[in-house]
Amino acid sequence: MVFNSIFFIFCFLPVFMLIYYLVPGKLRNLLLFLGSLVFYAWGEPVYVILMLFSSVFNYYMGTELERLYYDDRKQKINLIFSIVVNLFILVFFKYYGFLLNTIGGITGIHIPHPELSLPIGLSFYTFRNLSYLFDIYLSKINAQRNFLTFAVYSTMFPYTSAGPIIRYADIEEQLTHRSLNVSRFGLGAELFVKGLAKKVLLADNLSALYAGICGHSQMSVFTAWIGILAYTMQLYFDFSGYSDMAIGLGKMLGFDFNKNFDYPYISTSVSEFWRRWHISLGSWFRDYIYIPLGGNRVSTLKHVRNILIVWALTGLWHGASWNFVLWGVYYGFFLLLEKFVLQGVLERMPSWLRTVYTMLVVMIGWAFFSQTDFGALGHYLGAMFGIGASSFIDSTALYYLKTGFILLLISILACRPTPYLYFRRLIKRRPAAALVVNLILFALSVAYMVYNSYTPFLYAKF
Amino acid sequence: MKKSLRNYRLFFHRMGLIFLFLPVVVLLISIVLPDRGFSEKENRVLSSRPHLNAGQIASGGYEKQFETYENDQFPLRDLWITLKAGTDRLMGKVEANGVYLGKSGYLMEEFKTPDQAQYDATVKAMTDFAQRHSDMKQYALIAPNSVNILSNKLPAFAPVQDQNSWLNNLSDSLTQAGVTFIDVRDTFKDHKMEDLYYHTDHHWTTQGAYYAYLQAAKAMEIDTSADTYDKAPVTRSFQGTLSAKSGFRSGEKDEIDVFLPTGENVLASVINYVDEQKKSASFYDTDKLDTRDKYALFFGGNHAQVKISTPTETDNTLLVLKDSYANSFVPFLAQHYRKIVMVDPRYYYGDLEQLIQVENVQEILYLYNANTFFADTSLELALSNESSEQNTDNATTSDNQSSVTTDTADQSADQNNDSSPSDDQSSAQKGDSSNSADQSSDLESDSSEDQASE
Repeated sequence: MVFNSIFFIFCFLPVFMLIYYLVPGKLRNLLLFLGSLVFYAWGEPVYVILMLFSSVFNYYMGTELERLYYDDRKQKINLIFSIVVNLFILVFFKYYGFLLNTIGGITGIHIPHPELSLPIGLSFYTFRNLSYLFDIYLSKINAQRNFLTFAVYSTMFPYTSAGPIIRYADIEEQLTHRSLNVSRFGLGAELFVKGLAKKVLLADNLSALYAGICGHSQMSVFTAWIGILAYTMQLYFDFSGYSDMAIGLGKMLGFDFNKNFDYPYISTSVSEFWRRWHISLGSWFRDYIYIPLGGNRVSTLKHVRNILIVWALTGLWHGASWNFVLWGVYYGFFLLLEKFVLQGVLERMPSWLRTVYTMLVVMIGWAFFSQTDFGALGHYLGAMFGIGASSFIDSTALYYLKTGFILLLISILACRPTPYLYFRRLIKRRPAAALVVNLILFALSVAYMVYNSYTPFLYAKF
Repeated sequence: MKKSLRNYRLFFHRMGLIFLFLPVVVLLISIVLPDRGFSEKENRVLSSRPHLNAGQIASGGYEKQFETYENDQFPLRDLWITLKAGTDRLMGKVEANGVYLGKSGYLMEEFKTPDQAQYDATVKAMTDFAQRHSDMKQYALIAPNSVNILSNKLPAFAPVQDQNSWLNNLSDSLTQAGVTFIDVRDTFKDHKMEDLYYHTDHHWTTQGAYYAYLQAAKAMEIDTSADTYDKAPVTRSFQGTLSAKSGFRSGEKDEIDVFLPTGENVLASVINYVDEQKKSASFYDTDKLDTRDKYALFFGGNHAQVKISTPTETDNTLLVLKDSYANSFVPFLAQHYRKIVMVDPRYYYGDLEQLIQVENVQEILYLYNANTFFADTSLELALSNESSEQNTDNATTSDNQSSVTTDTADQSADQNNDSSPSDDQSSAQKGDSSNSADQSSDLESDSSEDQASE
């Protein structure tokens, strides 16, 4: 099930919330667990077994790791064993075909393999469960004794399919003690409506714009840049919109999740961009890969190695294809460049120029991200820089500029903090007007959802 | 300061109340409201509540159907769709599902770049056919579409494909093969200030068909000097396929005219719908004026085979291989041929060669609109469908026969340029469901059920 559907908003959510608010507090965890299973199983019931297995396994390994606290060696063996099992599932379902194809490409031995469909949210819940085990191993948290409580953490529907990757430590309290009230629900609803509008009104329309442009075999330089701008905006509103909805749903259920995006497109450097984009993933790699490898407290050569490893893996996490690895290493390269070469230069630049530099790096990066086929990638990147482009600007470019202008303008404004600050001010001065704004956004989103019977969520495939 | 805090609390409290109860109320309304069956606006049957079935739940099919059902039966669905289309227009959108919102109220369907291999195969089949039947007079009228003739009415900078280069190539190839190419483009451009095409539909108007007929008459040596017509509007509330497909100009209506021959020497035709085993004395099925697809007025839509007999002095028989553009065109020809056999290869699975022999066909006219012709796959198959005793040189063709026919069945269901119904409503839905398959995955299963029931 996805959030941006008529079925979720007008069937699943009202029925679930009605019961959730009416049952006594003790039963809420059970209800949330069962509701999450229904949410997950809806449309693809088979893989719910896999998710349940992962919950049971990691719950058990969590208690084991804690039990073996005084036996370092055994604890480490158990940790390694549980990492292997978790990663085996992830690799088997997500990277199996990719690995065999790559091996086949190198050795010439082609091993036939079935095309498995990727279980929804597999990358997210694997990482979530691993963070739980790592934190027990690092003595940051205690293992959860109650399976139901752990299962709620491990499978909760707001973040099960597309993140954010919430840490156990952040919601440990709330898993057993959380309060519900109308204003909190309103806080969540406001976030949900905002996220829904981002996804349905902006991201989906931007996606259509980008798809239209990609449909042209020949494009001018200008067309290619309009296309990549649309794609850049689409990814942000798609993913941050989905995160907003998840955090909003969390609030409605009585949880506080940390924000996952912090206006990444106003960043003044690439490293700042990655502190603002998909924060829960970035901090996961920082805490569980980069720092254990030694982080920056090692020799320069090892530091460079650590950064490249982390970024190759970050890329690979996004998809089982070499272009994602390339995309990750591309960022590793720019982070190193900023650290060792550009730091002084950037400091002397005015902040608008730094944002322009950052966004150029990010947009070219998204070109790597968008095309899984290297031929198509080369074609598109070439067109952006005039290689193989039909001309600098042509009537097709003007057409997309003219028909996409309002959408792109709204998008550029809406990825900055200013409109949200104005909205806060409106709430304080004219709450009725702010309500109307929210209801209009909601009504427009409903209109688009009714029209598009179903638009698959972009990030769900990662 | 205090007031702003109070407002802040008030806002979130109201948000909470509204969004706690609004979805519940909407859910109750949609449960209480009876399900709608057919949607006029979308010209299709809305999905109904799927039946519970364990296998379907396990495969995820039930869930998908249920979601589509919820969407289709959402209260005030049509209003929401109008709101969506209106918002699109405000945002500057001028294209939807391959339909451009042109100037002067014209909706125009884009020309899709043809598949070169399929095009070559069709031209080869026509060339081979021409050589086999060098004794027959052969003509091809491939009508340009509005996107071509009225290109100045397209939205600014619209990135449309050029139809003319394909038409020019086709003209050259067919002329070489001995088929007379009837090019109506210059005539149409001369008259483009008149309504040659419907504003909301992909067909030409009867006026457009008439100009095309005058052009064709010159090539086919038909004497039109005695022809006179009464132009009579039969409906002013035609909402065509393009407005349904795009959602643009959903309030706009077109007028359909018929040209009735006048004078003392007008001959009465008998129209024989072969598959339906039905005869009629009129080209027009006025019952269709009460349905959404009013263009089906002409011959009641597309049929596999229609024979028109008119007691003319000359004893000549014309075979028309055609799409729906022919339906408003052929009535003009009827006064000049004793027999006209209209065959729509998308629905016709008979033996064309045999038909030509039995009916003693002397002339053949290919009559298509360019968008359909260049996307067509069935004409090639119909033309190369030689009967086995004649087929000496090519064993593989006959080997492929059985598979070819099943392919055609699939492809004709896929035809989406032409969604005129052949006889009943279910085929109208079939055409439309393939048009809007991207909007609703559930529809695919609907259309395959239709195929199975045929």
